[in-house]
Amino acid sequence: MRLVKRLMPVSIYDITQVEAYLTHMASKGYFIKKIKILTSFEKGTPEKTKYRLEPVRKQREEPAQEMLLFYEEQGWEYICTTGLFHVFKSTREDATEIHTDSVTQGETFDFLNKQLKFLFWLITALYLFSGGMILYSSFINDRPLYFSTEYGGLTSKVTIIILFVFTIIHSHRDYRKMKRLKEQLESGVRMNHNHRYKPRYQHCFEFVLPLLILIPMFSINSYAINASWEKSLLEYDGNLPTISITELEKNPDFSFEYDDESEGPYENYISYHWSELAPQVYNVEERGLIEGQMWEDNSGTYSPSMETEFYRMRFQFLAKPLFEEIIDYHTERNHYEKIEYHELLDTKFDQATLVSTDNTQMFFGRIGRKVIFIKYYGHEDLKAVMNKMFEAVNNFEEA
Amino acid sequence: MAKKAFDGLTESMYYILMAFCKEEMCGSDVTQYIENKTKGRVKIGPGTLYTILARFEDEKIIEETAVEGRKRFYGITEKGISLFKDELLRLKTCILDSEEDIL
Repeated sequence: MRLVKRLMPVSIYDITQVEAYLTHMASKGYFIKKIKILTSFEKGTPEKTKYRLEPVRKQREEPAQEMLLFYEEQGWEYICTTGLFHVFKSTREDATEIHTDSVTQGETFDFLNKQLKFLFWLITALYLFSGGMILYSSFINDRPLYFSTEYGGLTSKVTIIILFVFTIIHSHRDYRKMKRLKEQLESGVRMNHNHRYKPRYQHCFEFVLPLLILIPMFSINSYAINASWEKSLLEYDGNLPTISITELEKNPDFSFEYDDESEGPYENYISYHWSELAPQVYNVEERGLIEGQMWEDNSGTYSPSMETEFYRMRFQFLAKPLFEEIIDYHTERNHYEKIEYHELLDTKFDQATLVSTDNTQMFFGRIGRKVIFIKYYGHEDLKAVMNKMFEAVNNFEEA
Repeated sequence: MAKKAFDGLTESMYYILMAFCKEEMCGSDVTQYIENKTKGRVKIGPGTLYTILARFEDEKIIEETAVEGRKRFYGITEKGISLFKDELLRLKTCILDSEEDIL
């Protein structure tokens, strides 16, 4: 016979509500056959039917033959086992209630309560550890904003943390509910099986919420992946969010180093990616050389390079902390032996800092929501092109 | 097996022990015996019966004596008899105490 499947409108741990729901369905001619994620009903003639949920007493327990005999003799038919409960039904008006002694009934919840308690602590320990690792690696470090802006994934992390917290709360609620019921029974308070069925669908929210937050997470991640691109500067004909190295290297013998291969990593490239906190992140790298000219220490042919990181932040208030984190990241990371910081006050930038080491100059600038970092490795002076840098950054719009 | 809310056995436990004090029997006989004895006042539900028998057997208050198909027969042990007598004495004392002061 064809089974009709329905979503249980109440939580399995609202035992008397589940019983009332099954009775309600039987009065419409739907008789429960099994409970998985969905509850399966067989269509029949409507009949007044009582249902009872009995906690299992050990893992994957099948009801004992002696137990089934006692139940059958008093008018109760075994239907199925779902996770932590056996389901029984009776159509006999005179069927003796399954439990006539609430203290004894309380003891039948021992295994269920231990399982829920174990599950709660396992989930809590596991998720607190995992959530803590995510928080530590993403937010509780020296440069949380730079980390999130450069590598993205903020939505995923926040989503995962919300799901962890939600699951812990959910599991604690089930554990507390069954603990309270057991305590009530053991203190002599009987279960009231005469509750009226009230569909709540509240617990359905518990299934839907993860979907509701996972769908945007996957959508955002997918958007971020699809939006990103990388091109060789040979192929790129759009605006640059920075100056070209040729603004510094005026020697007519200067030439770019391009890879011979048309595919693979480029020596001179521009890349774009999107992140939640910065809808525009560009990285530009240019490398060139001047044949016949050597580095001052004669270590090889003079081959200057320039790397740019450009960020347009979603909110202006994020630009200043990002600016500070970028300085911190790029000046500490390489452990330069000698390093000089110059705060540039006479530029059009809202904030500008030049950091000099031997052959490397690093410029950090901020205009409104835009933040730029330029690292130049060569003999020329970055300060000489300060106005051009400002114009490039200020006038840059998305290509 | 002590009742948690009070010190003694629950009413269901007490009557089940009483049934086994009379003779060896299976679960169905126990239910019938108690219903007859109490003229229907005390009913033992199947879940209560199964739970109490399982616990009594675990604690060696009763022991299995025979199996016939799905039916298992139990007899009371010395420990069970002692438990029943103690409870009987406690209940008698309760009644005497009440009669002296109130009735």
